[in-house]
Amino acid sequence: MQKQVRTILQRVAWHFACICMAVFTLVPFLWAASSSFKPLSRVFADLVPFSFKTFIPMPPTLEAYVALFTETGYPRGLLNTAYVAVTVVVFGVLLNSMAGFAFAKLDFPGKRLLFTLTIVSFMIPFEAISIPLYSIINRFGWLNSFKAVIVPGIANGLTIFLFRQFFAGIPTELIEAATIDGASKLRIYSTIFLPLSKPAIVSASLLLFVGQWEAFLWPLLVANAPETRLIQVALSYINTQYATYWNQIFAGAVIAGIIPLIIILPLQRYYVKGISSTGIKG
Amino acid sequence: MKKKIAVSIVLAILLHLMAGLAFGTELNIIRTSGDDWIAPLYDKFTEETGIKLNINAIPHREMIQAIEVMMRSGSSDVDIIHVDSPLTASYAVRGFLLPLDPYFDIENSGWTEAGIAAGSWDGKLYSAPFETSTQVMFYNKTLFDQAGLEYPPMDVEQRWTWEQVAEAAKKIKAATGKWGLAWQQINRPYQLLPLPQSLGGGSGVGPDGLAVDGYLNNEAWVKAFQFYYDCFNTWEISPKGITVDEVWDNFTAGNIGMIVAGTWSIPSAEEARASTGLDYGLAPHPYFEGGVPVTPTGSWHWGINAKSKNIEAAVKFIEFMTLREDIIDWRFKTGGQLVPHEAMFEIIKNDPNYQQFPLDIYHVAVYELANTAVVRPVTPGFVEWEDITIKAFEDIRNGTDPKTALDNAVRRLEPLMRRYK
Amino acid sequence: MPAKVLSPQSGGWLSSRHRRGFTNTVAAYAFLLPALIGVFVFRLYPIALSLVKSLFQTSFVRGTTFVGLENYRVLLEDPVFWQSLKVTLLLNLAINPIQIVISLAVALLVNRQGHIVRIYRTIIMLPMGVSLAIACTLWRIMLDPNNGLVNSILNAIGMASQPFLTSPSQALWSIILIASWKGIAYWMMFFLSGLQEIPDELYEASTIDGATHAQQIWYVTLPLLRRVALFVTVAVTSANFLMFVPMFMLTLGGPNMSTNTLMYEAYVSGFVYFDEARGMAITSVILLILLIVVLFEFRLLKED
Repeated sequence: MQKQVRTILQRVAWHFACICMAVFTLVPFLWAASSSFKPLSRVFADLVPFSFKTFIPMPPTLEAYVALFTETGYPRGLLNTAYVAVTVVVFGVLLNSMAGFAFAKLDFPGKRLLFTLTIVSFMIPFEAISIPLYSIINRFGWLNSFKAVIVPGIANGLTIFLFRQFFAGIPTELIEAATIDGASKLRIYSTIFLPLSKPAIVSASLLLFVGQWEAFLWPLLVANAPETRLIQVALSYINTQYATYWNQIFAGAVIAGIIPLIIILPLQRYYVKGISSTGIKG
Repeated sequence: MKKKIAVSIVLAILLHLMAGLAFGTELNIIRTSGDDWIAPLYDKFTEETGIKLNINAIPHREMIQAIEVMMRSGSSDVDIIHVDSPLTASYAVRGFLLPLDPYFDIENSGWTEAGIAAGSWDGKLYSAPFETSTQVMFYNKTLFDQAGLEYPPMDVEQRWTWEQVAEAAKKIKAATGKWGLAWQQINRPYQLLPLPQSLGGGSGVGPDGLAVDGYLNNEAWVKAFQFYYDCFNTWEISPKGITVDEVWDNFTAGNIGMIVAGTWSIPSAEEARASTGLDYGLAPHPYFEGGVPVTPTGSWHWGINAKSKNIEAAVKFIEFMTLREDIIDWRFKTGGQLVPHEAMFEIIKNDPNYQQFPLDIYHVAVYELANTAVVRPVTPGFVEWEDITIKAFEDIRNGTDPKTALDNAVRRLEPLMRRYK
Repeated sequence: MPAKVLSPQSGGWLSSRHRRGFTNTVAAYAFLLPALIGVFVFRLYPIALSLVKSLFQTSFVRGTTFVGLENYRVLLEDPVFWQSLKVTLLLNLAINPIQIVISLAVALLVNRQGHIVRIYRTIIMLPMGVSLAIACTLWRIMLDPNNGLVNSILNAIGMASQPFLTSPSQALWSIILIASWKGIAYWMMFFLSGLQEIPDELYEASTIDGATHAQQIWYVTLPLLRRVALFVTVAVTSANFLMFVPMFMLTLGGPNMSTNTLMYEAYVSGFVYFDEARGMAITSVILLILLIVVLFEFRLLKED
C-alpha cells in the first residue's frame, strides 16, 4: 500500500516537472503563434492591457503567412537553406566523424596538439574572424555562391569533438577483434563505428543543421544575392529601417521552430530507447 | 583528330563570343534593406544604361559591421555604398570613399546646401545627397478627446513646447492609461539631439569635431536630459524597455498619445487609419520654452568605394538616382522620403496632393529643413560618438542620473576621439 | 604549451600490441586530413591572422606599428575591461551550471517511452530551432517592464511588477532566462542521445539488485554519461562565453554596463570603435579564460 502511494506520488511529481518545463517552453510559442494569425495592427493593440485577446487572434487571419510566402524571399530562402543545410550535414557528418574516429581510437604523433587546436577552433567568436575569412572567400572567388556558406561550414571542431566523445565509448576490444580478422581501419570505422553511433550521428546532424539555421552575419555578407539568399536573411528584411511586419516575424518564428522539429521527430526512436524496462512509465 | 581540333576551335570561338556578350559592366552596391519600393528604379537604370546592378541589401542593425568587414578586407568588389550621412567623415578619414568633386558639377547640381554639407568632409564631397529627413509630431485624436485636450496646432509659429507636451501627456496617461509621449527612435541621437539643441546646448561635439567635454555634458545637455529622464522615470508618461523597432507600431496600435516621428511614417499611419481607424493628427516638432525650435535631419547618401574599378559607371548611377528630375519626382511621390534637391520643393509647392492632409505636413517639413534643421555633429568619430551617446541615453531612460550618465559618456569618448587628432 | 593541456585519450588501442608505426600514422592522418584542412583554412588561419593584430597599434594618422604587449597592458588599466570581465565571469558562473543541470535533468525526465511523454518531449524541444535573435525578440516583449506577459502573471499571483531588462540588477538574469529557454531545449537533445548509449542490461542488473530509481541514475546513468556530459559542458561553456546576440539586440551592454560582457566589448571595440587591436586583445583574453575553464572541465569529467 505504502509502495503504491509512493508510485503515485512519483508519477505526480514527474508530471508536474514535465508540465512546468513544457509551459516554460510553450508560452512564448503560443504567443508568437497567436500573433502570427493577427493582422499587423492588432499585434501591439492586443498587448496593452494583457488579456485573453493577447493569446487568441480574433478573428484569425492568414495574412502574415500569405505575405511571407508571396511577398518576401521566404520560399526561395527556405529552399536555399534546405540545400545548404543538407549538404553541410551530409559532408559534415562524414568528415567530422572520420576525424573524431582518429582522435578517439588511433594513435599518431601530434595528436594532443591537433586535438587542442580542434578545441580552440570553436572557442573564437565568429565576429573576430569575419574580416580575414571574408578576404579568403573573396580570394577564392566564392562570393555570392553557395560554396561560400557551405564549404567553411563543413569542417567543425565542435562536431569532431562530439564524435570523439561518442566513439571513445565504444569498446576497444571490438576493434582488436576486427583487426585480427584482417579488417582495415576504414572498414572498422564504417562497419563498426558508424552503425553503432546512430544517436551521435543524429546529434551531429542537429549541431550542423542548427549552426546553419542560426548563422546570420556570414550568409548576409557572402551569399546575399536573391539566388543564394538564406531564410534567416530573407526573414530579416521583414524588419526594415522604417517598418516592421511583426506578424510576419512571428509567423517566421513559428515555422523556424517547427521545421527542425519535423526533421527530428521521426528520429525520435533513436532518442527513446529509454529506460521503460526499469519501471515507471510516462 | 582534325575533326576534334575543328570542334574545339569552334567551341572556343563560341565560348569567347558568349563571354563577350556576358561581359557588361556590373556594379556591386551595398545598401540598407527596407526601401523595396525603390527596386523599379534599379531596373530602369539597367534598362537605360545596360549596366547590371548587384544589390546587397543589409538590415540596418548589421549595416555598420557589414561595411567594416567588406571595406577592411580591402575588397574592390564593392562599388557603391549607401552612406548614412553623418558617417561620411568616418569613412572618408579611413580611406573608404572616393572624393566626388571631380565627377560632379556640385554648384549647379541642385542638391541642397545642407545636403552637400552633410556629405562633405575637409572641404570635399564624399557622399552624394540622396535622401534627407525631418520629424513632426503625430498625435492620437481619440486619446486626446478622451483626455479632454485641445489638439496641438499645425502652425509652426504656434508649435507646442515640450512643457505643454508633457502636461498633455500626463493627462492622457491619467485619463486613458495609455502612454502619453514617445520618440520613434527612442534612444538615438538623431531623434534626441533637438532636446539639448533647443536649449542652446550644441550638437555634443566641439567645433574641432573632436572635443566632447563641455559639449556633451554641459548645463543645457543635463537640463534637456533631465526632461527625458522625467518622462520615463518621474512622470512615467513614456515607455521604458521598448526597443526602437517597436515604438512606432505601438503608436499605430493606439497605445501612445503623441510620438515625434519621421514624415516617412505617414504611409504607415495612413495604413493604420484604413485598417483600424486610427484617428491621428500632425503637428510640428516641439521645442523648449525659452529655447529655439530645432529639428533633426539627414539621411542616406551614396558614396563610391575608393578602390572601385567601375568609377565611371558608379558616377552614372549616382547621377541617375540623385539628379534626374523625373526620378526625383517618382521617388518623392512613391516613397515619401524627403529629397535634398531643389526639384522636391517645386513638387510640394505645386502638386495639389500636397495641399491637403496628411501631405500638407510637407510644407512644415520644408519650413523645418530651411529654418530649424540641424545636422548631427560632423566628426570622423561619429560611429563611436553615436554608440556611446545611445548607451548614455538608454541608461538615463532606465533611471541613471543624467549628469552622471553624460559624464561617463564623455570619459569613455575622450580617448576614442583623441585618436583622430 | 597548450598542446600538453588537453589530453584527448589515454592510450590508443594500437599503442600496445599492434605497433605498426608509420602505416598507422598515415592512416590516422588520412582520417583527420579532410576535416582538419577545413578547420585550419576557415578557422585557425583566420584566428591567427586576427589575434596577431592585438600586437599592433593602428592609428588613423600614423599607420600601423608593432607594439608588443602594449595593448594588453592598456587593457589592465581600463576599468571598462575589468567591469566586462566581472560581468562575463558572473554570467558564466550562473548560466553554465543552470543550463547543464537543467538540460540533463529534463533529458532524464523525458527519456522514456509512452504517449504522454512524447507530447511533453515534443513541446520541450520546440525552442531548439528558434534562433537566439528571434528568441530575444519574443522574450523582450514578454519581459516588458510595464505590459509584459511575465509581469501580468506576477501581478496575478500577487507579486509586484519587475523591471527585468531595464534594471542593472536584473538585466543579466533576464538574459540568462532568454538564453536558457533555447539552450536547455537544445542541449537536452545531446544528453538524450548520450542516454541511448547506455545498455539496457545495466539497468536491468541494477533493478534486480534492488536499486531505486535515484540510485540507478546516480550509480549507473551519470557515470556512463560522463563523456557526453564533457561534450555538453565544454560546448555550453564556449557558447556562453561567446554569447553576443542578447547584448547586441536588447541591452547594448547596459543598463550601466551590467551586461557588458567581454564578448560584447570585443565586438564594439573592433567594429564600432575601430580599435581592432583592443578587440583582438580582449578576444585573446576570452580564449585564455575559456581554455583554463575547459581544462578544469576536462579534469573534472576525466574518463576512467
